[in-house]
Amino acid sequence: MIDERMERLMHDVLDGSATAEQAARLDAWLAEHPEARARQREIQAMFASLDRVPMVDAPQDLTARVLAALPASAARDGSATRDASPWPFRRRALAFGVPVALGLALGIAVWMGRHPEIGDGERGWTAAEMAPPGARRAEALHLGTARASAAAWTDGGLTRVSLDLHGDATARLEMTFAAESVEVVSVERAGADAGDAYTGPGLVRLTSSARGARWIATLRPTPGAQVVVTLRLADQAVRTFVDVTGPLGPGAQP
Amino acid sequence: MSEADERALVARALEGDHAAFGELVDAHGRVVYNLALRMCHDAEDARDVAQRVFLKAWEKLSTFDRRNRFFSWIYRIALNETLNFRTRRKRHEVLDEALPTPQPGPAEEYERREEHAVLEGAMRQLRDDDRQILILRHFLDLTHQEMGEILGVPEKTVKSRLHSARVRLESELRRRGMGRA
Repeated sequence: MIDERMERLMHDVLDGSATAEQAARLDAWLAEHPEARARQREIQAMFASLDRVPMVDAPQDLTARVLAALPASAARDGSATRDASPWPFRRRALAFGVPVALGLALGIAVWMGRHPEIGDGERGWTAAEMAPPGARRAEALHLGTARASAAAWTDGGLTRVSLDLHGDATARLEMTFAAESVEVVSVERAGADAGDAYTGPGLVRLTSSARGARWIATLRPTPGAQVVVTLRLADQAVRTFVDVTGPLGPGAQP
Repeated sequence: MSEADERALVARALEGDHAAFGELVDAHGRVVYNLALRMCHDAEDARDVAQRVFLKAWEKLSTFDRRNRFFSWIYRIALNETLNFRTRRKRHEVLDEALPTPQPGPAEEYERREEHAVLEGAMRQLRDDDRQILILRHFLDLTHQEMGEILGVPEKTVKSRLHSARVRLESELRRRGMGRA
């Protein structure tokens, strides 16, 4: 039978909440009690099982759905959650109002994102032209007058992502990722167009001027890292993914 | 995202700036979704709950005390919403339903899936407060201090509750043939 206080101490040590002195006391005690060492291994195995449960990514349309359901201004009377509750969407398929509006908005955004004729010819260059042959391309994003595209390729052990943003209104292009899974080595302007770049943990944000902007981001991703590219214009957003960890085609800097 | 950045976004959102609020959703959506997923055990429900959490946050943003950290406020809303959801739903849970997880290599897949299934089954038998505290600590990797802020209790209480929850979890795991022989 293991003393309850010592068993509690085992939990604290494994949880990282014990002091160095307490950990040393436990070590000394374990050295003299083989049955306690076996018990500690059991607890350790449970901690390991718990810690192996992975975090999964949120649905890629979560932010878009939330923003689409927001009322025009901050509600004070609870109307935001009453009127825009997601429940009626699934539970009452015939409900009108917000679900219909949301569906239409998303449908238009998806249609615009997939429409092949919009934009590319007007701006005269695309991310495809910036990226080398074999680069992995994300689906082009279109929102209002703003257009964005992205492509990724390997370059000397690093991943390079070309991002271009164009349109006649100020728009933002964001590349988001788990900060621990992708290191941003650099973000460099690749064209003469104006615009600003901001880099923070888990985020590269590019803001275009009226003439657009393009950049090359150099990343060091860990295996399995995912990068989401979001185009924002006013309070609307559309997004896509760039695979930065697959077997990218090798290529030279464009 | 720094606290200062977050405070600035909250201020902009309070003025009705949807894009600023979108950045807050981006920053916290993953954790809120995972919390909902582990409490609801259903990806579709978790998505709805996560959406509802942020809509409620938007609605109540004017009540947020900006001297506190935004994450503890939003995660507290998330905890409450998941509990409200479970109370409202009162549905039969599918014990063998697999939650979405990143795909491990083929050699590990079977073993991991088995382990997760047993763990999920055991977690579902726990009380909501036990589940919450285990999820916050082990699945969302929050510190005791952060958990104390979210739950509104001292760290000492967090430690004590965690210990009790793990003891009960271990007992459930043993019933399923995992853990102590």
